[in-house]
Amino acid sequence: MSDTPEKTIPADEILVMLCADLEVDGRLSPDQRAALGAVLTRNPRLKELYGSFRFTRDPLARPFDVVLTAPLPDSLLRTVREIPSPRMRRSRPPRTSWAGKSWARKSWARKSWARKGRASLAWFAEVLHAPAFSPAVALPALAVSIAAGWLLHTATGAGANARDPLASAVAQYALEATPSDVAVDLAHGVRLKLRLTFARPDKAWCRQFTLSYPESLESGGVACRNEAGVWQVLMETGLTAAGPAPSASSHLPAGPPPSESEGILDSVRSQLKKGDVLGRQEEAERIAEHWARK
Amino acid sequence: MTDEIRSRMVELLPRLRRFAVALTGDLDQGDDLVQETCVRALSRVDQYQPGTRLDSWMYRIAQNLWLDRMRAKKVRGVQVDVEAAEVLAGANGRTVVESRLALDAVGAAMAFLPEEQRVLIGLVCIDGLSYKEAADITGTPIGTVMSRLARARRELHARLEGHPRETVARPQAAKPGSDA
Repeated sequence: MSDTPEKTIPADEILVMLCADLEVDGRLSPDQRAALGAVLTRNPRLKELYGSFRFTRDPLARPFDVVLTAPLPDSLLRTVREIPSPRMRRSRPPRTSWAGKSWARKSWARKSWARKGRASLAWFAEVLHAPAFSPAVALPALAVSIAAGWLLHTATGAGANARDPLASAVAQYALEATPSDVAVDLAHGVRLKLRLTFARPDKAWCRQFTLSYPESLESGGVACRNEAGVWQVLMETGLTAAGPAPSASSHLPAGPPPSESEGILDSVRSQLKKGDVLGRQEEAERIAEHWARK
Repeated sequence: MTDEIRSRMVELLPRLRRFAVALTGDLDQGDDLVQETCVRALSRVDQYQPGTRLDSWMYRIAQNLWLDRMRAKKVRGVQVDVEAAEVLAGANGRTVVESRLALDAVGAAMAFLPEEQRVLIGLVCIDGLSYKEAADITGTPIGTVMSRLARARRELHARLEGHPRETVARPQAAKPGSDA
């Protein structure tokens, strides 16, 4: 059912609706009630509308009253009384100095919410590393991972804007023009390091990255370049303790052991990519050609 | 602080439950929604601004969760409970409402409304919130709230009272003998 434009509702109907509600709530004076009655008598169409609006107050609401008096399920009460909740936030991001630097601001927020995201990601990691891991499992798991990524972003408090391209101009430039294994300072000690570059089956270019923080924490993610040339974060892990510096070959058996987040991302990348990870030379060519497809 | 919020949440549960049933049209699904809402609220309790209305905050969470759920349902192609709709079609709305057996019928009628309108009916007509409060919760301009509500109320009245929908959707001259 489509929602027709609101402007098609005439003002007199809105007024009648207001009057119906005010009368139900006992907020019309006797004089006002009399005036309303006179108007409705003169206009049968408005009188019919008035009746329909009255109908949708008390008569419509009455059946729901049984819900108000019904006993509350124990499970519901237990949920409210016993489920653990995070500690109240003690401080807020320093808005003044970070003003306009959305990437850095969201990074701060990500720290506060990382523990929440870690739970879902831990589950995701279990799925990926399960002995029965298969493409049939991988696809739903991948969907979950993306959802988890979005949940993390939503949890930052950035609201609807979190679904927009996440990177600031600095981060966009880094994703666009920085070779892998080169770190770029974003703000306040947060560094973005591109790990490697690969292509999705739909030929979109994606880059796996690591964000490191001054407190020896890090998170990882995958950003892909859309047709408009904007890099969008496809997924991002929660914060973990920084592991040994990863390299482009860390997904190979001979490479250093990946951190928890890198392990997850490696698994995701293996599901996302088509073809090989780009070598340094080829990556440099793509950067030089502004990611034109071959 | 959190204990105080939990205590207020418990007080709010009956109203929140009623709102959830209004959205879902079903007590079990309503309870599921309330449960999910409470879990979400408690996991984000540090986002709650002390001094602001807890009911508005929780209604907003419930609304968003339900809208997400409905969008997922639409992807699967399930929108209206056809069986309930058929039952509704043969019911005399006023009689059913007055006999307090109308919860299913009202729920089925509301299932025909767009989600945004259903939320507003739940907030204003069933919970009794003001247009301004509903506008704040839904993040919608108050004029939009009022026009959506007007449309939704005419639709509900038509379905529950058995008026031809065309007459209500596009009001013409009054019908002779109308007892509205």
